[in-house]
Amino acid sequence: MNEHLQFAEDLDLLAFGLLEPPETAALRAHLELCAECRARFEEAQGIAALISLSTPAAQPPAHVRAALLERISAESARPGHSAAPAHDAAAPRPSPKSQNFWTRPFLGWAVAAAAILIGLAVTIPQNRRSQDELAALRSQVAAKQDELDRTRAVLDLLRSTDALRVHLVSSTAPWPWPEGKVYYQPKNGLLFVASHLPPLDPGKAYQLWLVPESGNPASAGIFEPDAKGNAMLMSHKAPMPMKPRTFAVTIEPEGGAPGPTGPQVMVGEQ
Amino acid sequence: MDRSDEASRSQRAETRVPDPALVLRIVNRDELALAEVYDRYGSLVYAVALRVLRDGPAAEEVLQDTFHRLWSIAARFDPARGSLPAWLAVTARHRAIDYLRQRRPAGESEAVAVEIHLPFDLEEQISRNGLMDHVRGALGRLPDAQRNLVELAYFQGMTHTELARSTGEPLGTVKTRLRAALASLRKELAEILRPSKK
Repeated sequence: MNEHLQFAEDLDLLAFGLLEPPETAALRAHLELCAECRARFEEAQGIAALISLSTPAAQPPAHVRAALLERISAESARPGHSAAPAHDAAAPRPSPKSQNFWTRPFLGWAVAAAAILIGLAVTIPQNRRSQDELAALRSQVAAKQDELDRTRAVLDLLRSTDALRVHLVSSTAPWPWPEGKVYYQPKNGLLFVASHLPPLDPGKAYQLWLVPESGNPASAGIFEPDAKGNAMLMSHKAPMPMKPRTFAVTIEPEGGAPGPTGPQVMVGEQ
Repeated sequence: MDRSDEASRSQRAETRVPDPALVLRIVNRDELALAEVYDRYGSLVYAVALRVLRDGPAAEEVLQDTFHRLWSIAARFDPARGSLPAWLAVTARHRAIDYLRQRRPAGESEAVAVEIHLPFDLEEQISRNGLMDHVRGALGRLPDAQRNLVELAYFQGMTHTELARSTGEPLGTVKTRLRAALASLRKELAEILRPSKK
């Protein structure tokens, strides 16, 4: 308790970044161990954030947005994938001869008739193509609607006051340690996000497990991390009706296993 | 101002994609979602960076860096625990102060640890503009000496020792004034902060 009193009044100063490095280190070490002080520190951070928000908005130049999006696009782009230029300055210009073509009447009419025939020949497949494109668009709209429904379900899960939130950590992996977070509610399903996952060997997959107080673990699904080691898993159906006590991620054969058999990557308890 | 304004604002609020949904899309590498978050909060982040740095090109660099940071760590950002605009503002402030002091940006672990506990509907309060007026009012009601110290500390990133040197006040006085200022702010902003408690 005395320790709390000793630290409490410095928590505001820490949140504002006002302490000197040795004081900061001591207080941060205490925060690691003390949930009460951590809660107060987080509130102080909230006050600090509000002061940031008090700054009158200023409109940044448009080129920053463009540069940002270009930067992330460049990072995401695969080798060999590039956008076509909007204008091709090197494109050949029509020759003077072709510009005079329509001044020759008979040839002109003949070509016009041929053009109509060619046009008809082109239009019929084009109509078919338009129908295909329409079907593709309908499919895209349905996919977007599906995505929206999924996003709504996830939001319900995140906003739910009784959803279980569990932090999964690794006790064995080298730095940077894999970690993840599970949001779980029997009614709305499950969302799992993870980072710093090591790449998998061929033929392997990560699998998330829900472990009840008693009984067998239930699989929540398999997943693979992206190139940066991030992964996300969503399930709209809860793998088990009750809230599990423990969540764990193991490495299993590709396609998943009926029960955990491989090495444990991270684990978290509520 | 009038009813039609209110109606259009509430209609806008209904059609607005919530921040957590955008964060999830960013986790899924959706560049358009990042663009939308930028359109929503770019001016706020830029304003914070500009306030600290007082230099347009430097603030632009911090602005871009802050959103790039969000792109990089989105999977680790917990929208249920933290407010996105608050995280962006605090990250911009940290990065701007680092820039000001020519320090390298804080390590990943420190930046990720910034989970700001605020009400979940903060984004809506920002869009109404009432929140900023409330905070500005709270700052404005502080005695001048306290407000100056808070602004120097917050926007210049000075430690209390540096503040004492800069203002010529004894260290003890600086600490006492700062603590009094922060206690007043905590009291004034309590009604905003209280709903965040779970």
